[in-house]
Order: sequence, then C-alpha cells, then structure tokens
Amino acid sequence: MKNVYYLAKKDFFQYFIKPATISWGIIFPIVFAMAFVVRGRDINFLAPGLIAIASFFGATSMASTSITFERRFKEFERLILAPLSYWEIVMGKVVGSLVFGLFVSLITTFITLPFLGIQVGNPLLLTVACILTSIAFSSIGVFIALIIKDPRNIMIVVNSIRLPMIFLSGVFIPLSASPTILQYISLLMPLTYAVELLRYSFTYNAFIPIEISLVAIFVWFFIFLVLAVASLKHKY
Amino acid sequence: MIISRNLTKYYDNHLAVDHISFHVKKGEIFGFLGPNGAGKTTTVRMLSCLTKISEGEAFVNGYSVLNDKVNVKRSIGVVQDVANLFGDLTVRQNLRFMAELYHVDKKRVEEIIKQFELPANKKFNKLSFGFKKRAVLAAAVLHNPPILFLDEPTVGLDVRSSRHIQNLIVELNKEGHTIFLTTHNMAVAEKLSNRIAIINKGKIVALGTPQELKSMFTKMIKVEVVVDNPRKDFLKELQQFHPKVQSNTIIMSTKDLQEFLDVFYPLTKKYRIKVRSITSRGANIEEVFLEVTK
Repeated sequence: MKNVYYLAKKDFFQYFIKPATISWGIIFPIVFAMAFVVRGRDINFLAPGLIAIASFFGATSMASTSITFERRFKEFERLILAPLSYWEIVMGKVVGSLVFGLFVSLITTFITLPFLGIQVGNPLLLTVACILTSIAFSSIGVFIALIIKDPRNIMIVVNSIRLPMIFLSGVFIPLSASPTILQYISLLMPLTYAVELLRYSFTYNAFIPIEISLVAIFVWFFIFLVLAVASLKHKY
Repeated sequence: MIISRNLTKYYDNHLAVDHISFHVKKGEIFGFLGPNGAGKTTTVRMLSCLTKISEGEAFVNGYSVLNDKVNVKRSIGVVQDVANLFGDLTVRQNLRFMAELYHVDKKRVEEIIKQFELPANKKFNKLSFGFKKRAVLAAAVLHNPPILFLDEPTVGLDVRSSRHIQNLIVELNKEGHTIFLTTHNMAVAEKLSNRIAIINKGKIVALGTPQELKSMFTKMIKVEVVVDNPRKDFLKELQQFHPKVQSNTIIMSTKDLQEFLDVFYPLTKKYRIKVRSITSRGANIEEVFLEVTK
C-alpha cells in the first residue's frame, strides 16, 4: 500500500499541482454547468449526470495523460524497473487519477450545485458515489492508456469511448424513457451506474436499484483493474 | 553475477537476439559492443525485466529473470539509452521518489546529490544533457545495487562530460558494483572493460579480455613508414604490402613483420630512399570490432 501511495503522490506533484491542470479542473465543470443552466429546465434531473461526466472526464483524462506522457518519454519504464508489483503500479496510477477525478467532481458539486439551487438528498451517499465513480473511471483511463499502441492517439481513442457513452448512459434522457434496445445497451456502460447512483443520492429515486449500481460500479472498476494489470504483464 | 543461457528475443518474426550465452563475473566491467540493431539494448532490456524473454533463461544476482522479477529489480540499477527521469520534477524530487520506491533513507539522496555534483533544485527537463545522464546514473546507484546496467552512458556527451561519466563508472566499479556496459565508443570500452563481448546480428561473435580479442584478431600488422620521397617505382615493388600513400607517409600491412623488413630495407637501398621513421602496431578493439561485424 505504501508504494501505491508513493506513486500517487508523485503523480499529484508532477501533474496535478499545476496552474493549467487546476484551472482546467475548476473551469471545466463550471462551463459545463453553465451549459446546463442555459438549457434552463430539468436541472434536478441533469445535475447527477453533470457530476458523473465531470468525474468521468477528470479521471480518464488524468489517467490517460499521465501514462501516455510517461510511456512516450520512457519515464514509465522507471516504474517498471522499480521493485514493484504490477498491481502496485496500476493501483498507484488509479489512485493518482482518482484524486483528480474526485477533485473535479467535488468542485462541480460544491461550487456549481448551490449556484443552481439544488438540494442533495444523501450527502454521504453522494460522497461515496463520487469516490466509486472516480475510481472506476480512473481504472478505465489507466487501462486504455496502457493498451494503446501509439500514445499520441490517446485522446482520439478516449474520446471515441467517452462521447458515445455520455449519450447512451441516461445523462440527458431518462433510461425509463429510452427505447428498450438503448436500455440494454446502457446497461453495458459504467457511466450509467455512476449516473444512477448519483441520481439516487440526490432524489432517492433511480431507474436501476442502488444496490445494483453500487455493485456494478465496483465490478467495472475491478474488471478494468484486472485488464490493466494483465496488459502490463503482457507487455513486460 | 549475470548468467545468460540461450537468451533469445523474437519481435514477431524478426530474431533480434539469437540464443546468446555468457556470464558476467562479480566485480567486473563487462563491455557489450555491437553495431546499431545488433541486439545490445534488447539484451539489456531482457536482463533488466523490461522486455519479455522469448526463449532461454537468465539469472541476475542469483535470481531468475523469468520467475523472480522483483528480486532481480532490487539487485540492479539501470541507465537506459535515454535520459528518462520524470521531467517535471526536480532532481531532488526524482531521487526522493526513487528512494521511496526502493525504501532507501532520504539521507542517501543528499549523499548522492553531493557525490554526483547535481543541481538538486533544478527540474530534470531543464538540465543539460550531460547533467541528465549524471542524474540518471545517480538514480541507478541510489539503492546501492550490486549490478549496474549502463546502456550507452556516454553517447551524445561532450568530451568533458563523457570523461566525468567514465570516471564515475570506474569509481562505482571500485566501490564493488558489477557493471554491464554497452557502448559504441570503442576507446571507452577498451579503457574501462575487464572483458568484452561483441554482438552482431543477435549473436555473440567474440568474447574475451581486450588483450585476448586483440591478439585473436591481429592477423595483419600495420606498418607506417615516413620517407623523404615515396617514388612510384619503389612503391610498385612494395605492392604485396598494399601501400597507401599520404604525403610522405606510406601505410602498409603484413602478416609477418620480419618478412616485411627483409623486403623493405633492400628496396630502400636500391632506390636510395631515406627513411625518417618506421612504426608498426597490431589491431585495436575498433579493428577487432570491424573484423567480427563484417
């Protein structure tokens, strides 16, 4: 666990404590929220989706950027050369990105939501949901960054996964109002469970039962964690 | 300290390292030479757990590279062919991070900064190339590993920085580190290495002490003669020694020095050639390298 902490701490100082990163982490959710405000209706419905997207973008961006930079300049091989297990390396990267994903989602929650005048039903569940959501999305970002062949293509790949997921995960259209086929497709998206979990923490009401969303988010995190470790083992 | 048995690496269908076997003794500097693409870096990468071994096996400090990677990694320090510490961290932050990963006392970081004369508070990516190489070497020895893999540690450096790194290598070897050194610089290899292996097209084509290699491959002796007037008729009679003329200097090669002198001196008298100097020498490592990597 100590090594995971050291890796995450290194990423924190190397990537997070930077004016550009912090500005992005603050401006991105505010601008995103403004777009929702301009729309002017269904704010209570859209707010959980906003937090989930903020966490999704924050965590996956940080995971993929830090790893691809390090892979490109062979800094990542410093970690491979150290006497660490592959689990420790992957978890170190996941925890590092989790911190940023959580930072962005909490900024969204604590700055933007009061501005929109939205009440949170269960703050504890909201916090747990933000942590789980960020950790699951971090593991997705780490996995993608490790399997991609050419690190320069990372953003194309990440966005081609992120953008369809945003539109298929019940962020903008309630799952209950979606066609059955889209409902089935949305069940394959980790973002769906994050949105449902966050929605429940606001309104105590969600299309997917909270227990299933909690387990599903954790399962997605674990699946991508295992896949990321397997891809490291395959490479080295 | 390092044992390689039939070590092999395929990249898809390309055979990069072809069943090479060698061992590196404790406390020696083992030079590993080869032309570009010969398999030097791939060998270092396999021995340091950075690239998977396709066939064969290797042991580093008694630990299997195939089955005991964490202990292998604890036993080695690696300087890769690129300067790859974390660019946005300072030298001190980089070394402290490494110290944490290797569970080394932070006091050691300050010792190393002093020993390697590093600008501790400068960001790594702001350092000159020479300092970057020095910092990477410092990070490699931070945890005091018994074995160091140095892949082209002097490449791209000016004479002063190169000399400084060479001195550090000698110093580290005296401190007891076994060193596996790959380099393109034949003079550096000859000067520093106790033994040298030359790899070509994935195979080891020569292995021995620099002296052994030179005597093994000294088939031809070069003779350099400075004369007053290298006349054409005189040179024609020396054709068997393949004379090459540069101003007043004639460079020739022979298998037998005595045989050469028996022919050469009578000819100087015959053509009234005044000899200013005559020198002969056997092969150096560079010539051995060129011979075995033809």
